[in-house]
Amino acid sequence: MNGIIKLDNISKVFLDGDRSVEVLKSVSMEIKRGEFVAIVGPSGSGKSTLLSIMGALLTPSSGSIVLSGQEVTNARARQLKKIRKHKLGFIFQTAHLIPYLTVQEQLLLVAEIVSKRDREQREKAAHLINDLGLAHRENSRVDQLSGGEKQRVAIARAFMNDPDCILADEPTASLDSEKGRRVVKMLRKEVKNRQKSAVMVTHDERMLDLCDRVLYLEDGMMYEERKIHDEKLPLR
Amino acid sequence: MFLAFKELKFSKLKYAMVGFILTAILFLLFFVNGLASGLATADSSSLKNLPADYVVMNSEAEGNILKSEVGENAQEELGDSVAKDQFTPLTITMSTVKGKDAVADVVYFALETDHPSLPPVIEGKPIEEITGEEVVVDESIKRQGYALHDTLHDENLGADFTIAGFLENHTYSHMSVVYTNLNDFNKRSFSNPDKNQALLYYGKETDVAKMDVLTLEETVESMPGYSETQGSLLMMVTFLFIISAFVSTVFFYVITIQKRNQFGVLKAIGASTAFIAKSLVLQVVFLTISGLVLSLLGVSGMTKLLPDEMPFEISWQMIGFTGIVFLALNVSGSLVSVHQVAKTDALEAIGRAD
Repeated sequence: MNGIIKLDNISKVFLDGDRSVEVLKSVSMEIKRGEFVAIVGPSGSGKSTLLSIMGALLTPSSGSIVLSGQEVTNARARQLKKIRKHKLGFIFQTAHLIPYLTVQEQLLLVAEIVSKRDREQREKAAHLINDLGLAHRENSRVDQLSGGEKQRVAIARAFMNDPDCILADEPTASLDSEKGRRVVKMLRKEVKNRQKSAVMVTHDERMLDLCDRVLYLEDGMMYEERKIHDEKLPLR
Repeated sequence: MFLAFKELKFSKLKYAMVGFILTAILFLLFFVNGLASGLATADSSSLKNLPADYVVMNSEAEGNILKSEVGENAQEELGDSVAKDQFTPLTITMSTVKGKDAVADVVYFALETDHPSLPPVIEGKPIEEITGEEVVVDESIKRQGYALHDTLHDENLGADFTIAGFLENHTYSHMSVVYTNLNDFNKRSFSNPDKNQALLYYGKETDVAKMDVLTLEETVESMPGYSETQGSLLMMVTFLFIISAFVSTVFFYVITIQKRNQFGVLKAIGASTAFIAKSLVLQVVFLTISGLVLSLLGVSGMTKLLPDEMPFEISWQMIGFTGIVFLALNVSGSLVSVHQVAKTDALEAIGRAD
């Protein structure tokens, strides 16, 4: 099986007033099925932009991109939305749950957006809730959950549409390190069990040992580094 | 669908408050509307229900039937184009009658009782059969304590009449109309048989020298004060419509802007604008219809408390029309919010702490 996400020479240029700023400079990378990859970099390095491009939310200025086997470089907005809906799962900095829904309903909402709420979807939701150790919280509303629990609901939600790839945007930013680590461990477990891929953008160096691979992004350039503190080699 | 109602349930207070405002505005709307149509009836129902296609008055009266004077010449001229049995002179006299213990203001409508299609009575003798002192009166006089076969003693005219029957919806300027036989009326000393207030006829519109020929509708509208009253009430109703649409539009607009972040997340997950908009519009429709139902309950309770003399009239057509216009305005107002939803980009969810 080939790469689920394949970026080839991706550049992204934004206009800042009358100057253009190149946020991503010829970034190439590939993520395989079952792989859990971290992207690390300082603020302003282009992490969020990269994640948005991988998440079919932004289109690159140049380069080509393949998401779950589909070439999407020149895809239309409607097609991108379809890919997001069926092939990708998102986890955000804060859980971004809908405040007035219970844990179970958060997952069923995804089911309703993607297809419809039926028995099968209910069972799937129950299964995910159980997997993430939230069974006792199934009918609790968001405001009754702890920060870690919320993020676990967000993980369950991301898996709900059975995506090929999970994109996580600093999922531990609002958690302390112990809770953050548990959340990332669970994410890893789900990725491995279900043979999905995951890309996690993070500041948090303590989580990196849980990832299969770590990519470094600095000033829009990507470096690969198998061991921390190795000399950074530009990847082209 | 379930998103919309879960949210309503969760933010009960917020939505209850705006629902209350909508209910209050609608209540006022129905009330002013009912008052407008009640006043119109009390003012002019007798003119609206005159047995005629056209009313002939002299030009100087400018449509005010009380000021009008129509003489023999006009009758002769009208006789050339309209068959004799299709027209009748109408004499109008305002007066006050005294009964056993009550005084009532009345308006006499004296006409030829062989005129076709006279207003039907709801009780007693039909107008066609009354003779001599017999009169047929609008039922509103019952509120002054009069009953069938009672005597109306008119001190101004120095005459007595007997109530032979009752009509409905025949009031002029909130006064009960008294139908009498013109021939018998003219025999009395106070009456001037050569001068009538108007001529009523069935047929096509014609020209009569120095006279205005008005339809019943024009006759009603040229009544002194009628257009002014109805116009200002209509203005109130219009403004209430506009205010209600603004209240709900602004409320949902503000809430939508507060929730942009949430919508961004939903969109990132794959929800379309239509998916989100559907739940928004559903909320607007739900609140509007609840407001309609509650305010109608309020209005129907209110009508039970109102005194009989209060001119208040509400019809299903009016309720239906008001409801549809109100719903249409509120739903079109919610499109402003839908536009905000459409503008929300899924990208807003990425790289944000909250």
